[in-house]
Formats: sequence, C-alpha cells, structure tokens
Amino acid sequence: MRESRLWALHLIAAAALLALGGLHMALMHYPALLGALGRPSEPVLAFAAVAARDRAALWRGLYVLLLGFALYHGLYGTRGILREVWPSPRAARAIDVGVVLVGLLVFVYGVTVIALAGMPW
Amino acid sequence: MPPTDPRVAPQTPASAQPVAWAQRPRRLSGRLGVRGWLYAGRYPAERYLYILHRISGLGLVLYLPLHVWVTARRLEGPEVWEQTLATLRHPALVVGEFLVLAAFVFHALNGIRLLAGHLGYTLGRPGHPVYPYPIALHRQRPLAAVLMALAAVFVAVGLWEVIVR
Repeated sequence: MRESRLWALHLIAAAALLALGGLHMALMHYPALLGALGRPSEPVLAFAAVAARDRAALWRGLYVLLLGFALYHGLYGTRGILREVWPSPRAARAIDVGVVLVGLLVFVYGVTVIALAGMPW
Repeated sequence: MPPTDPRVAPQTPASAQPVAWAQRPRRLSGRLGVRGWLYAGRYPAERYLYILHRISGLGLVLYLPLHVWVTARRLEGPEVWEQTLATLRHPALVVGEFLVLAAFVFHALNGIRLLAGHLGYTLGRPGHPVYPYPIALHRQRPLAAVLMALAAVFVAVGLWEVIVR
C-alpha cells in the first residue's frame, strides 16, 4: 500500500481512537466524574458487569474496533520511530514485517478472547 | 562568464550531492536517533510536546498487549477475575495504571492539536515567514495551551479517581 494511504489510515485511526478510547477511559477510569455528570455509578469491573458487556454484541463490536484501531495507530507510529533509529533499507523491511506480525498476533489473540468471552456458557 | 549551453543539464555542486548514510558527518550523530529527539535545543514548547507524544505513544503501545492479556483472565471465571483485580490493587500497579491514564490523556489531547495541523486548520494562509510568526503566535500556541490545560485537568481528576479515591 502507498505510504500516503498508510498515513491517512493512521489519522483516521487516531480520530476513531479519540472517540472509542475516550469512551473506554471515561467508563473505566472516571466513574466519579461520570456520576457527577448524572450517570448512575456502578462497579464496572465487577465480574457480573464485565460478563454483561461481553454478552452484548454492541460492546463486543466496539472492543474489536478499539483493538484494531489502537493496534494500527500504535504500531504504525512505532514503525516510524524504529525506522528513524535504524534507517537502512534492510532494517526498514525487517521492521515492517515485525510490526505486521506483532499486530496480527495481538489482534487475533484479542478477537479470540472477545469471541470466547461472549459465548453463552 | 561563458554562455551556458541550454542543452546540457546543470551540474549539482558536490556539497549538494546526497550523502550515503554510512558517510554522514560525525557532527550530526548527536542530533539523530533517540539523542536527537531528546535534544530540543532552542526549539519551542511544541518540540517538547513532540518528544512527550512519542514517549507516551510508545508506552501505550507496549501496554496494549499486556492489557489484552490481563483482561483475558475473565475467561477463567469469577474467582480468577477477582484474584486478578486484587493483584492489580498493588500500589505499584495502581501507580502504573495512573501513568497509563496520564499517557492516554496527554497523547489524545496533543493528538487533537496534531490532527488539526495535519488537516490544515491551524496553518493559516500561505505567506512569507516574517518573525514573529503570527499564525504560530495567535493560532497554534493558544490551541496548544488550551489543550495542555485540559490535559492537566483530566490528569488531576484521574489522579484523584485512580489513586486518592
């Protein structure tokens, strides 16, 4: 894929992460702030609450999107930094292959966890 | 001065020839790579935001696989999940959680500034770069100040939520 297209995807992922990551952080780490804004306070990390989110297709979809955008954005940025540190063409190819492999590995693992957590057993 | 032949391509002076990476001048070595990022020299505040953006981004991308692995403990049932949460309440890990939160808040809000710049919203009309640069002073710097003030507020609230509360 052309570098400009990869860069555009990096920006699109950044914009998506502002929304999805912001929502995730607000729900998980700012319960008192959300409570002050009118949202009923509940223990979001209790097993029952976690399992309820896992069973909801909307939450599972949001988790997959969040994981995918975060991995793409993060690994594209890491790739740029690593290619600055090791600028030779051979190192650049190795870095490209490395970030794709790491990204696929973590994405497949994460999606498997999300899918298994949503199973009805 | 002898007339130049328009059919002959002008010669590039030797000093302007691209230099192979292996033959780069030694004096540049301290301004490249990791040392080059950390040396902000006389650059403005945005240069330090750039360094922090990279550091926070690297921290977040290293944390992400760990976060996926830790949250996967819920697959092993409620007891294992409660044990995992108890482990995460260790003071060192609570501080780590706060650092992740602070890194995310800073990276996201500084990222808004970068997105606005990349999309051209804070660049102004093309013009001669006359000092003091009006676009930088009246548009880019105030945006950076507002976003960093917001980041400070969210990090302070996060500190209270994660550690104090």
